[in-house]
Amino acid sequence: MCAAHDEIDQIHETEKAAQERIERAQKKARKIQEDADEEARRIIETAEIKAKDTAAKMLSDIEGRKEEIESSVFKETEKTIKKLQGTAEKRKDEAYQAAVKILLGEA
Amino acid sequence: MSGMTNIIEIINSKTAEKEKEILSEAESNKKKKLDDAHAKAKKVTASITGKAEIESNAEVSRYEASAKLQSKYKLLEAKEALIEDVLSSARKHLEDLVKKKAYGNTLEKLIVDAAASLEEADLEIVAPKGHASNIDLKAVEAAVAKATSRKCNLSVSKEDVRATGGVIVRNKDSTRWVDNTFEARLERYESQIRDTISSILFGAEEKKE
Repeated sequence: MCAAHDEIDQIHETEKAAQERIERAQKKARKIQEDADEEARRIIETAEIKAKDTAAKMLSDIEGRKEEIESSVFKETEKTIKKLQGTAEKRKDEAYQAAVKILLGEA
Repeated sequence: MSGMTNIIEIINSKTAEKEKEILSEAESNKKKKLDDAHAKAKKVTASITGKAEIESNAEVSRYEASAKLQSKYKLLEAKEALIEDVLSSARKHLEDLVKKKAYGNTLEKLIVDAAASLEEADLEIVAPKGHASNIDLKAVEAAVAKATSRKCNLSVSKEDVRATGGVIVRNKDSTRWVDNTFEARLERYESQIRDTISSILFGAEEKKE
């Protein structure tokens, strides 16, 4: 009779220990979930901050790009105008003669 | 004794299995959550930087278009200055011409040109004050007759016209006339003159544009 009691007690103790192990596992699982939630939130937040930085840099780079455009476009125009003036200077007399002819009815 | 040991082993084994299952499910959920978070982070990044890229590219494009337009205006201004320079020389030429002997020939040409258009036998010439003395009426009548194959009587009006040079030629009742003063011709032919000057000065360049 005593031996049988001992056995039942032992089984109860094993079951109790098992229950505790399951509870610890569940607790650990909850912690894993909570950590995962936190890490996920941090991943998104970090990405958002980095993206905003990148966006701000893109917008601040506009001025530099504008200066590049200005320098390139206007430099090219000045070059074209200089070339135009040089060529026109050589043809000015011909143009003047033609204009006078039209004005005097000689054309 | 052996039966009880079996039961305990079964309990422990099932417990270990359950433990493993709980933790494995938790790890699996964690992986899914982190994968989702990475995907969402990628989306957020693309959305924010994409918007900034579109905005900055649009602004740069607008600026580039405006710079190109300004350049075009600068080029047109430069061309206009060169045309105006030639026109100004031509005007100066006309101002100087009235003081020269050759002015008589110019007046003759302008009168013949006007008379040919009017096609009338009696015409009157209105010239700027003091300029009529440069007109040899007989010679001009002969030139008109030669140009139009028609006899023409010319007279000089007592009126004068405010102009640098040139003449107005009109019929006797002043109902028809041709204004060949320098100012009127400048106005009348300005477009043609500008086109001519432009084509001589920039002809090859304009074709290139």
